[in-house]
Amino acid sequence: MQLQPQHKLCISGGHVFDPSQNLDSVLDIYIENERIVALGCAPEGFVANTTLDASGQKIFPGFIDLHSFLAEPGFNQKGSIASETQAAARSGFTTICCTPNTKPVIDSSAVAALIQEKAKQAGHCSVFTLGALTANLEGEQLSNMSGLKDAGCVALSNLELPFKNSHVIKQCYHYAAGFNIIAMVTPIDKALAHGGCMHEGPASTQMGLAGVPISAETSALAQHLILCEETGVRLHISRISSARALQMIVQAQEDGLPVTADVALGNLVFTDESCRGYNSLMHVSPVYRSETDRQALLEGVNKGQLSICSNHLPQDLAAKMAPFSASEVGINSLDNFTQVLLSLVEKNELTLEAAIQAVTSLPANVLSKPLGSIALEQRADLCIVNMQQDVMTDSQSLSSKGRNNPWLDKPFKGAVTHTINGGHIVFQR
Amino acid sequence: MDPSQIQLNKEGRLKHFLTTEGLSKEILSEIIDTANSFISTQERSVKTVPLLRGKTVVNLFFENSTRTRSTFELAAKRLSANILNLDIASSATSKGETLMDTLWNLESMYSDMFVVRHADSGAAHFIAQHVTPNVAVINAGDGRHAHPTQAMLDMLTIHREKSGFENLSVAIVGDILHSRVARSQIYALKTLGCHDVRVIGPNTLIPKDIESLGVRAFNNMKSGLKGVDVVIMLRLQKERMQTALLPSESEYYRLYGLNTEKLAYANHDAIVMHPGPINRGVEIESAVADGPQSVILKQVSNGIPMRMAVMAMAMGGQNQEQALLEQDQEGAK
Repeated sequence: MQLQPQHKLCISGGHVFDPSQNLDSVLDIYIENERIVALGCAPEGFVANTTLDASGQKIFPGFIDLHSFLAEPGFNQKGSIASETQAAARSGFTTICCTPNTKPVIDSSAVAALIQEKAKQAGHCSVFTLGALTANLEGEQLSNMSGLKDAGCVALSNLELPFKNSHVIKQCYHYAAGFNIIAMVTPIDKALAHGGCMHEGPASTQMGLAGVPISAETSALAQHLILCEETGVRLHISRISSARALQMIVQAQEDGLPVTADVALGNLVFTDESCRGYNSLMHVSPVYRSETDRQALLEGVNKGQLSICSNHLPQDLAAKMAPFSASEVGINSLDNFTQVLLSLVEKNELTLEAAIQAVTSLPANVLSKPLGSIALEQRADLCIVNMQQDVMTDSQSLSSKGRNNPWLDKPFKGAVTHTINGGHIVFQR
Repeated sequence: MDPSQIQLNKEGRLKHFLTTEGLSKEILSEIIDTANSFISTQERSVKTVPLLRGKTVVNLFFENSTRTRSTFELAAKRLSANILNLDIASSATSKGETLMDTLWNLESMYSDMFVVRHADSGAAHFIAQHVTPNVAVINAGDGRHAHPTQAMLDMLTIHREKSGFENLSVAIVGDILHSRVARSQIYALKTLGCHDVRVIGPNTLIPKDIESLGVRAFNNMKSGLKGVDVVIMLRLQKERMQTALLPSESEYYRLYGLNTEKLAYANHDAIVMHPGPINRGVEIESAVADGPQSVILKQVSNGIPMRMAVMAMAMGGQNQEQALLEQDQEGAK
């Protein structure tokens, strides 16, 4: 009987950069099937059936996104699992967490299974489902949390949607804590947000748009932190927007609470001033806040306090063709995520080390998954980047169906040339 | 994009009128001068001038407003334009048609100017960005953002009563938070050279960081009105009482309602203005509204020449831009 031929890949000459493993040098990577079997020297008897020359390029662990909306099932005009995961792979993501606000909502194992199956068929990227924390995301009843976990949901989230009352939040956390379930939440007090559509500050006042005060985030956050403390739930605060929120989270961590947090890429790039001229591409949730907040969030990333998520939310053209507050929220941030991230490094706003760990080892730790690093026996998820290559994305070259991309036709330096998922090349430029 | 630049053609002339923000002192003064020249035509027995003859103006009102719409209609007629009134609030958009669909439909009727009122801040900008290039857009009020023709007719009124702006102190009283009129007035006053602009109201009606507009905020009338030359009262929507913004009508009137006693804090020759419609006994006492210092009815009559002025100027700017474009195309051949 003949054995199935082994898949053996050698990536040679690349500059391997993985802060979590203190790797920062030129190393050959040897991959057998889906795992890394050697770094530097070939294992005895290793004969590659594919060799990839990565000379002059940087090799990072494959990126992990904690928050992407994939639009399927239920929102075909906005995107599909295939189109959105392809956009992710283009940016070097090998794992993305998809949000539960599909139609139907991911509050049953059937929907979770459907999404995982479709993602596998598409083959661009590993997809982890985030289940709904409350039934139908309505904030009233607990979802079938344990069942969702068994169905593969890596965490349960209520997004920024309101809970009926604080008792429901407490019960969700209390229940989740008993099953070691990670709860995720984006803290926004709906009453304080009061229908606002941008950061409350000089720009909102001058533009006559209703503002969302920082207290809408921080007062809700305080409540979640208190209930985390009381229930002991493992809590991840998703997509924070203000300096004050970061300060509260860091304090909670110092107090020993099991809390982590992330920030959306857009909030590291744009501020409320970007909304001038009523550019509906700047209508997002959570809102872009002041320059002071942006600087604090960058510093949080540089200190390793925050992961960076895409907060990808594809929309068709019509969704943004409306006056600012009437347009739908969100941007397509997957198609050119890496270029934008690296532009922050180029501007010296982020260190390369911080930028990479914020999309690799930190989110892997949030999910407690053995991913996000380049090491022996690890899954071979890699992102190879030519740091000098100029790239520009136009509306014709988007993979995502989302036309709501604020970075179109803008020149960037740094192109993902290959994305390797489980040892296989799933994207190459 | 700089929000003010969208209003100007390549020669720096007005082609849309969306906001007073970012326009130069020269343009604002020209608007006032043009309106002044139309005042005299309004006193003649034949009131029409042929500046917009053959042009089609569409009154596109997504929010109901009989008064503002009527003054635009009359202004357009006195400029000899054809006018179409569309009350969208009760038609297309309620049937699910998007704003863009409505616009494309109207464009296919070859209109030359849209006068737009909409509940969303930025709606007029949005329309100006997306209409075909030869259509002029006049903002007749967008959300809380701007109501530039109202602000400019107020500037015309102040100019006629007080001549200059440089040495004036102006107080705007009431619901600054929700007021598109106040924002447009503040930008116009600052650009025209007024150094002392104040807003007066309870904190709940004053938007955050209002100082960024170059004004001072006051919570009480006594200090706020001290030494002012112009008092602009804003209308208080009665529904504001229901949303935790204000305790009661009576407390509001006691603190901010303009009566003879409070008016005495201002300079003795101060004028009293109100964009209307006024709520007697809510923000202003009848004795003041109808009193010798009130110029409220003069504001109303200045409304038509001011709207004629901006319509004529914006149409002129559009025509000039089209002529320039045609020249460029000729040159390219």
